[in-house]
Amino acid sequence: MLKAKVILVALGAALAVPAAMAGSTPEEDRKEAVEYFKQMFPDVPYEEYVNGQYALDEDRRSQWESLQDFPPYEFAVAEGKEMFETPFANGKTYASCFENDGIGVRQNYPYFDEKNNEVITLELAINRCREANGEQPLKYKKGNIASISAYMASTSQGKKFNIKVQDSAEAQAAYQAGKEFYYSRRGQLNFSCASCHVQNPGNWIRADLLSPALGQPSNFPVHRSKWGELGTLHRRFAGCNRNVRAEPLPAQSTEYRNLEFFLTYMSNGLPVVGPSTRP
Amino acid sequence: MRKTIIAMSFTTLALGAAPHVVAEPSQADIDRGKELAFSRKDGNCLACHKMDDGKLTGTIGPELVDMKTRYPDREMLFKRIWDETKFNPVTVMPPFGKHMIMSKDEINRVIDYLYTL
Amino acid sequence: MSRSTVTFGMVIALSIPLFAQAGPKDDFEKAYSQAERTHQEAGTFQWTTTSDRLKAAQEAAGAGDYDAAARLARDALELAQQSVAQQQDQKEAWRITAIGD
Repeated sequence: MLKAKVILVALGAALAVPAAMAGSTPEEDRKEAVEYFKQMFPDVPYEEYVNGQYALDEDRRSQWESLQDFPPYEFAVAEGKEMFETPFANGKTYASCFENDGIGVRQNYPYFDEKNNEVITLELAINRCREANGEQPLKYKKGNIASISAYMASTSQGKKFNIKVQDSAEAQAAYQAGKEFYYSRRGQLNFSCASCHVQNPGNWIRADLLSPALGQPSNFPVHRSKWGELGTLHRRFAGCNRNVRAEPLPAQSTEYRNLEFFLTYMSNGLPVVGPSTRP
Repeated sequence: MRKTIIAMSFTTLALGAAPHVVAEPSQADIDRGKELAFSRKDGNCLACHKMDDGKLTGTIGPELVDMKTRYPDREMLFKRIWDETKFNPVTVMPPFGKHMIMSKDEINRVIDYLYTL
Repeated sequence: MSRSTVTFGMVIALSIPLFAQAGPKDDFEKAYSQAERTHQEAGTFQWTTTSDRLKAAQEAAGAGDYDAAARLARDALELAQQSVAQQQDQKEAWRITAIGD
């Protein structure tokens, strides 16, 4: 008992030191992550990371590619386009809320809004646009919002993520909060996002092949066979939390938005490939 | 009140980790251990470990073979299943006992089974 | 036997079943509110297993089985305490596996 206590105290002291000197910049983190995965998978070209597990396994990749002739999300994207172009009751459209009328802008989301000091994801922007125009907000995990987001992503295919973390204390804090979330163990099973996607990409957890952290948000919204439909990134976050027996947080909660901010920043320089398909 | 309960849970933990005499396990103990090891909601060992006749096993942890040779000290094996993070802070193995994923008895049945591998 | 002893005996005899009835319900309520409070304390580190036990405890209490309800609430409390410990621990421990300081 006493021994355990002593070890705990010693550990606490050891951990307190790096904490006091903490402070690598987001760009330093990102470069280090790129280097980390390059050492882990020397044969995987950088741009391949957007394909997640398919970048790491030939068999899975060829199975996946054979299914790409008739992607299961095509109909949803067409519906999303129609909704995107249909005027609200007040006569305006979604285009009025976005830069470049909302075409080819996916790679700039999420961004940190310095006026209100919060992370704005694409789905949040879609709903804020609706509300500003007198419409009811959509549910965040699936359905219409996933279709609209998928359409907007499809107009941005190949454009490289370009997330900015401004120098303000608030923007930096949002990024740090997302980073802390990604690396914090949660749930009864005691897993962090990083337990699987930093420490074990390329490994199998039962019949699932774990994808690397790099490129993770590029393919969203995603059509999962498990869901049989499109879902948003925050739906996936909630599912991952539940898998480790952690109570999921609400889609578009501050925590999940900060997490998306951090995670997408890590993918800066990688292209948008969403919507895509996963098991 | 709170203090008492915390003290009590420490006692449970201490008891859980304390050495105990183990009788030769029965076939029923071993069968129960295998059931717990394979079940998704209990041990779910197959998620990470290749073992026995398990299908579609994961690759995260080492294969579970020769367990008696690798862990001659039953107490040590118990402690590592109870909370592997104490031995390796970056492990992804869940602390089965500490987090109450399995009870002390359940972990002991799993060990009965592991020792047949 | 004096009259007062008889009265005393009757009071005791009557109060035992009363205590026996109030006991488990009381236990349940105490354990449940403590578990619920600890579960809230875990903030964004709550466990689904704690939520499940709390719900099961409520259901057992609703069905009048306060022994089972108290047992489930005590389970929930232990789980919640571990989730709070995890939350506290991760305030620094997350850095161990982090890329970048």
